[in-house]
Amino acid sequence: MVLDVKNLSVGLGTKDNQKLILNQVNFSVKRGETVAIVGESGCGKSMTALTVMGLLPEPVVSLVSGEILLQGKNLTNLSQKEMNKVRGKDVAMIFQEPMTTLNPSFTIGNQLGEIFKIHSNLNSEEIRKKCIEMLTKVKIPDPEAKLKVYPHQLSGGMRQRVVIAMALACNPKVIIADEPTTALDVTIQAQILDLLVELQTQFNTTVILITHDLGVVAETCQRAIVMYAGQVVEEGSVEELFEHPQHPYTKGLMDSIPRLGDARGKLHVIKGSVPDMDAMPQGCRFNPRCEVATDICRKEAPELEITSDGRRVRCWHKL
Amino acid sequence: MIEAKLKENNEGVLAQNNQMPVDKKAKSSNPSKVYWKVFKTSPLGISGLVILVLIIFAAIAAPILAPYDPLTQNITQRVQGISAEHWLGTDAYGRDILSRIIFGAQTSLTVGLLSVLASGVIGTAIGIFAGYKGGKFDEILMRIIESIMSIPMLLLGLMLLVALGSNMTTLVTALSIGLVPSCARIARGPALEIKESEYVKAAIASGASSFRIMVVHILPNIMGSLLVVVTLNMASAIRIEASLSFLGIGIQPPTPTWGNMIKDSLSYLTTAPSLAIFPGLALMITVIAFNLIGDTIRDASDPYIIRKRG
Amino acid sequence: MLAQTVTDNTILEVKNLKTYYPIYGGFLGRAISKVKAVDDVTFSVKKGETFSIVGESGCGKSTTGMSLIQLVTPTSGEILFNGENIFGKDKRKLKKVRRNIQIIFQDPFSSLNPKMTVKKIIAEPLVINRIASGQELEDRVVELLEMVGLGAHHLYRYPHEFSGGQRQRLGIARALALNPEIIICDEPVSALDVSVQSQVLNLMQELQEKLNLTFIFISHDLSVVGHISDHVAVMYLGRIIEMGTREEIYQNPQHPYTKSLMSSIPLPDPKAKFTKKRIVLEGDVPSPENPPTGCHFHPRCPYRTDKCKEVYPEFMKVTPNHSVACHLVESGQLA
Repeated sequence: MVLDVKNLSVGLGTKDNQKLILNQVNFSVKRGETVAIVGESGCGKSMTALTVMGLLPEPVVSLVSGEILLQGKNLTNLSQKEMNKVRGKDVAMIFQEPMTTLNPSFTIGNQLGEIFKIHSNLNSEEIRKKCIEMLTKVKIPDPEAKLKVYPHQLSGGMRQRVVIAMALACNPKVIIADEPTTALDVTIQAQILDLLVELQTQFNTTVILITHDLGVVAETCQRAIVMYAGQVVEEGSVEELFEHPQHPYTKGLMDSIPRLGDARGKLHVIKGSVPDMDAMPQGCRFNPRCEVATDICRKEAPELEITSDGRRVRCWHKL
Repeated sequence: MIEAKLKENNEGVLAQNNQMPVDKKAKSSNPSKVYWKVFKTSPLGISGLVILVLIIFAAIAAPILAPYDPLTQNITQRVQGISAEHWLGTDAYGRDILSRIIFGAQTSLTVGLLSVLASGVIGTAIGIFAGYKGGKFDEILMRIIESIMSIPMLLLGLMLLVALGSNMTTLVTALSIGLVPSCARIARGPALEIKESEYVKAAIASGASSFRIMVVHILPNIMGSLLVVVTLNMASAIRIEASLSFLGIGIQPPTPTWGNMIKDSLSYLTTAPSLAIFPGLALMITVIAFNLIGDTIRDASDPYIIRKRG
Repeated sequence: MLAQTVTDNTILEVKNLKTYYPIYGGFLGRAISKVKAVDDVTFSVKKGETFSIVGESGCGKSTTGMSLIQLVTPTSGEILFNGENIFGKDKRKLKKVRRNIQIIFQDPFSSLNPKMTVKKIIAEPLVINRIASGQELEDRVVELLEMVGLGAHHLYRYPHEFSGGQRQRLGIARALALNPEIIICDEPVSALDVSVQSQVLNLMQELQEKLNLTFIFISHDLSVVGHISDHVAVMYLGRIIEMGTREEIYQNPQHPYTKSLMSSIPLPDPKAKFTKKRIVLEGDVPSPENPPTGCHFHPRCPYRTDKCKEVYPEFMKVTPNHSVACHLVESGQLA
């Protein structure tokens, strides 16, 4: 296990008026694996990533309990200073919007070089060479010239490549990619996903892909964790999950996607919308929207159960 | 059949509405109530408000509140200190200082209010118009605004009052001109932004006129920041009025204003400092009260506080 | 759907629509060049159908939509609504036309004025056009709210109290207020979550059936377009490069760009990754400010020839319901 997240709970607000936005999140990731965390907005998938990175917007949001073990080292015990050494070197993050990830007033060379300056003892000429090497790896044409270029002079796809190069710079053990292609066009998305998969095998990096797009999950990941309202509701290999979703929410999500070649007609609908944090339903958090909910679902919250090897489901009525 | 389908679809949404206790929040969503909520929790804002209410009350009820006529001279009681008869003492002509301060509030608030209102209306109109119309209008109007801004307000008042004579109308005109740029600039920015918003496009698409868009869509969205500027402008208007009166070209004696009271006290500064201290304090407290209120409104109109729910 | 091939029920016809934006710069801010955001676009839409325009960002699909209701002023061309040219009409007539063509926007957050109550937002078109007032107005607003699955209890709420999906419903209600015949839907579900997206799509289809609406559906999401459309036009750098019935475009794409678009959609099926051949295009979409010569697509096209670099291909029919602009298709080299 490269990354082991245990009983992670994260709360919003002050101590006396705290609402849990992540509730006992558990998962682990093996070396070299690509794992997806899927869910709708507000399900806590991005918050999970920020927690692992130690980037929670404190004091508005803070860690309540839980452990994040990166190769056995508990990240939650580290001070901000120690965490700075881990970030970028051991875990790196790719954000959705490359324009806001890159600082508009520094050149690409500056920003990429900065990472080597922080995490290595290379001199400036070696850093330059390293930068060119990284840009070549992410297939940016004419990398030497691009070092002197500012982010706004690049297209969205190119900027995201730069961000990926920055994430990979120190050969981190885990890369967390938070909706890395959502802001991009389909043809560019295809390029970036191909690149991610290729680099992942080349560097044997572990990738946690956070996304709402089930298509992206199916095409790039081996395993997926489905989140709903701050909890993990289902986990399994992508093949099993898409073929036999066991949680009604997962199934509902799969059915709501318009499939290519479908004739016009009614799409499957999950009624209602994601519950408000102030008004979490009693019992199973999905019960008001669930088609198979019964009394027990309204009263008691189900546990996340292991159903078979590598599969977990949180539901009273597994499908 | 379609109706049935629609109904089915609707039920989902209705079910979801019932889950969400929106009603609780409906109360807090009214913008004016949000302001009140922020005021309630801000001790500084509240004290500003209380002071302002007291000053306004004093100004309105001046004839009743003031123990003496502010203009009646009494040579026998010149330059007296604090006493039971004259709470804040008397000035060089034996006039009661407390009464003069109370009547001075009348002058200060009238001048301030008139100039702030005039500049607010004109400035906002210019700002919204320039921002919404854009292009040449914007260029020309903004250059004019910038040239006004390049003249210090005190100098502008000096010039106009010297050229047109010292009276209330000229003073208010000068202050209004000086304050127009702040309102115009605060209105223009959001106007530029809002005219690109989709709700304005939707309004245009259903036939709304430019006038309607400026008044119905843009104006309410800048009211918050406008209120801040107007309150802070009030503070500067009162300050500048006092400065001009101090220089002897603002409101002319014998009408009491805080500015000319301080001016008259100059020759007694070492012997009877209270002549300067009390009108000075009145001026300071009023300006601070307006600034406190302005700051609190600014906090209240901060989108981060209003949109807690994102 | 077959009956729709009769030409009589064409509700909107767009001929040679061009929308150029000037680029200002230099001394005194004069226009120094222009962006051909929409360049010679021609299509026709039948009553009651969904006509989709797809393409990547910067292809001009949104500008096309906004040009139709003249939210941006087209440079030239004809827009025939029920046979009558509505382009360049004076303001009063334009107002009448806008009653018949309405628009729904992408961003459910910026499309509703945050300072207005739901009642004011939805009533606005009715107030502007002096259609109703007083109790009648309120009744109509409630009726519209109910049509989109909301209710009278929402009348005095503000937009920020609603979820994304509900806001989009409010946007739809506002667009329906004037009983329009055509609704331009500019990425109406792109900002929504999958489960909410399907609710809104279903609602739109139901309303279309019930009110016999015509949709012009603008989107970059090929899965959604493939679900909701009758006809599809694919745009690239300001021009339509392929157009036809949904079946033709999705099952038998001809243009190399359309083909790669179709193959780039990530499919929610883990097995597909072994069978599907993805055509990954090189490079980025060029800036519309300075489009490539000849066929705009040639720098990214895997099959380009010398002719593609020089001559813009004619738009030609492959089948009666399918047209494409590509030299290679024309000469049969791609078959």
